[in-house]
Amino acid sequence: MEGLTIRNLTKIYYDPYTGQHVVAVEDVSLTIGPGEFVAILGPSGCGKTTLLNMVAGFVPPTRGEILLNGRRITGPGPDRGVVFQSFALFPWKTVLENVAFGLKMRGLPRAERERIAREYIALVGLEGFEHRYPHELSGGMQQRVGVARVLANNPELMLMDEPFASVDAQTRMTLQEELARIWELRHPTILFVTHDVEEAVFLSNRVVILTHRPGRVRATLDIPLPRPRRWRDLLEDSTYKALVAHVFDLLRSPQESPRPLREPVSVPQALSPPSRAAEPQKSWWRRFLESRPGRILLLAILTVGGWQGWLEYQARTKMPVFLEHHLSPRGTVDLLVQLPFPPERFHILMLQRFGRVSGTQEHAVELRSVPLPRVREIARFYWVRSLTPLSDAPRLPP
Amino acid sequence: MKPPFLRIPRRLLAHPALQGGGPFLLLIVAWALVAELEVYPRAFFPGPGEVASAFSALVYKGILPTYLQDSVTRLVVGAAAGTAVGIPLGFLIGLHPASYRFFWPLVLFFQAIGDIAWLPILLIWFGFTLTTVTFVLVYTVIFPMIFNTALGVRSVPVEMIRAAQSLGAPPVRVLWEVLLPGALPNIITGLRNGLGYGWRALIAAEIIVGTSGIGFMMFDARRSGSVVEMILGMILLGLLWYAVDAWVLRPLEQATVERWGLVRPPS
Repeated sequence: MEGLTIRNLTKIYYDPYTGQHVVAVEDVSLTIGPGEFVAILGPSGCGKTTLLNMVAGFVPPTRGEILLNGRRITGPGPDRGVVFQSFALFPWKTVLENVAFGLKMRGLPRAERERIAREYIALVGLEGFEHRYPHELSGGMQQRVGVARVLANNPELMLMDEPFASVDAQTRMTLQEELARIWELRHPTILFVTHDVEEAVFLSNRVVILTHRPGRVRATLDIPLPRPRRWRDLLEDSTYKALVAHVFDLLRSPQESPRPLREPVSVPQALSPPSRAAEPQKSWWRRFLESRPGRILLLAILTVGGWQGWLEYQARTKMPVFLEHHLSPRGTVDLLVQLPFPPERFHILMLQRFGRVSGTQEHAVELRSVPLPRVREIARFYWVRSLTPLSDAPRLPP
Repeated sequence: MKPPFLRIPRRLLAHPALQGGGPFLLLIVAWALVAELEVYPRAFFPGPGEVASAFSALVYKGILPTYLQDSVTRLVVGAAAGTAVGIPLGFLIGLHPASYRFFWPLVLFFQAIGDIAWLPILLIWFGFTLTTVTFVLVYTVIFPMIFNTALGVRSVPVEMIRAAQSLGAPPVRVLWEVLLPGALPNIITGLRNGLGYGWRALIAAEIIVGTSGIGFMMFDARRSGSVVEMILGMILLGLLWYAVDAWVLRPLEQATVERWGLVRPPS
C-alpha cells in the first residue's frame, strides 16, 4: 500500500488546567498518495498540529492507526521529515551541517554528504551561506534551511507544520512560491498543515478541511489549478478566487459538518450544589487567565440559535480580536450568562441594560429578550464563562 | 632568571580581559596612600612595595612557584573529576524521571552538608593528605555541575529533539548532537560556579590540611606574623581566578555559545 493511510485516528488528552479530557482529533481518516501535496486546513486549536504530530510519531494516537507505505507508525523516523513552525534548526551547526545532519545519521562519508547538502542548499537558494550559523540568517532563510534539511534526507513523506506562519508576509509569499517550485520539480509527498486558506489553495493538490475542536474531517476539496503556480498569475485567476471562496464557505458553514457544530458549553459546574471545600480554590477562569498570561484568550463560546461563534480577547489589552460574525444582527435571545463572580445588586442593574433579568443562582444569570448585537457587549463588560441560549441550558430553579 | 611558568606569551598578555587594569590601578594607588600615611602600623598594613618585594623573594626561593603549582594542579584535577562525574549525573537526572526521583533528594541533602563540614570526618578517614583535599574539591564542584547540567538538558526545545529524531538520529546521537550542545550554556555556568566554589574550598582545605599550596602559605604566615605574605596570597587568589576566566572560561564561551548565538556577548 503506497503512500500515507490514516484510519479512524482519535486523540484525547488530559488538560491539567481545566481538569478535563479534551478530544483534539476525532475519527479522522485520510489517504495521501505518493507525490501528492495535501494541505490540512482548520481554525487554530482544531487539532491539526496534533494530527501532524501523530503522523510524525511524536505523540501516540488514542485510537486508530497510521500506515506509511504499509508500515505502521510507532515513533519518529527518517522516513517522515518534519519542517517546524519554529524552524528547530541546530544553532551549534552551520547551514551545511544542519542540512547534512540526516545524511550524517545515515553514516554517509563527509565528502558525500556535503556534496548532497550543497545541492539542496542551492535548491533553496542559499548558496554562499553554507558556513553561516542559523542565528546569522533571517527567519525566511532559516526556514529555507529547514526545508533543505528535510529534502536532503529524502523522506518518503514530508510533514510541514505551519512552516511559514512565523515569517513576514512578503517572505511568506516568496517561500510559498519556492515550495511550489520545488514540488513541481521533485514531487515529494507533502502533508502541509496550515490555518491560511489562500496558502492551502495555492500550494496543494487537495485541501482537507477540519472542523473546530474536536478536529474532524469536514470536507475534502481537489485543487485543479494548473502548475507552475505563481502568485502573480493566481491572484487574478477566477478559478483560484472561486476555490478560495468555496473553502472559506466550507470552513464556516455549519451544514457541511457531519454533526451540528455545537459544543457542550459547560454550565453545570456552577449550578450544581456548591461544595464548601472547593470554595477557597481559584475559579476556573482565574486559573485559565493565569495559565496564559499575555496570550490570546478564548473567553466566550456562544451557541445562539444553533450557531456557534466565539470571542477572543487579548489578555493584556482586553480587546476583542476575533468576534462572532455569524450571529444575525436582528432578533433577541434568552440567555444564561455565566458571570465570573457572584451577581451582586450592581451587576444585576448593569445586566438590566442588556435585557430583563429573570433569575439568578450562584454565578448564573437568566437574561431574557437580549438584542443579538448586545450579546457581544455582555461578553465584553463581564468576562463571562459562557453564554448559552436558555433553550439549550438547564433551567434555574425558581 | 624567571622560572619557566612565568614566561607568559605576549599575545596572552594582550588579552582584552587583562586590559581592564584601570580599576585595579586606582585600588593600588589608594592602598599605597593609606600605607604611606601610616594610618595603621606598617607591620600590620604593608604597602604594595613590600608585597611586591616579598613576591620576588618568594619566587626567587622557589617556594611560591611550587605552592602555586600545587594549588593549581589540585584545582585542575579536582575540577576535572567533579565535571566528569557531574555532567553525566546531570544528564541522567535531567532526562530520566526515575533517576530524578531517586537522585534529587540525595543531591539536595548532600548539597546542604557544605564542603567544610566534611573536613573533620575526612581528617579522621584520610588524615592530612591529598585525598582529603581532593575529596572536598570534587564534592564542591560536583553540585553546581549537576544542577546546571540538569537544567540545561531540560531547557533544550522539544522541537529540536524531535527534528533530530525525524532526521534519523538514534538516542545516543540525540544526546551527543543535540542535548549536549543545547545544554552547553548551562554547563558552562555550572563550570564557572563549580570552579569558583572549588577554588575557595581548596584554599580552605589547604589552610586546615596544610602541607603546601597558597592557602597553606597564607595560614603559615600567621605564625611568623608576616602580613605581607597573607596579602600576597590574597592577591594571587584573585589574579589566578582572573586568569582562569580570561584564558579558559571566556575563550570557551566565545568559541561555543556566543558563536552559536545562544547567549549574547557581554557589552
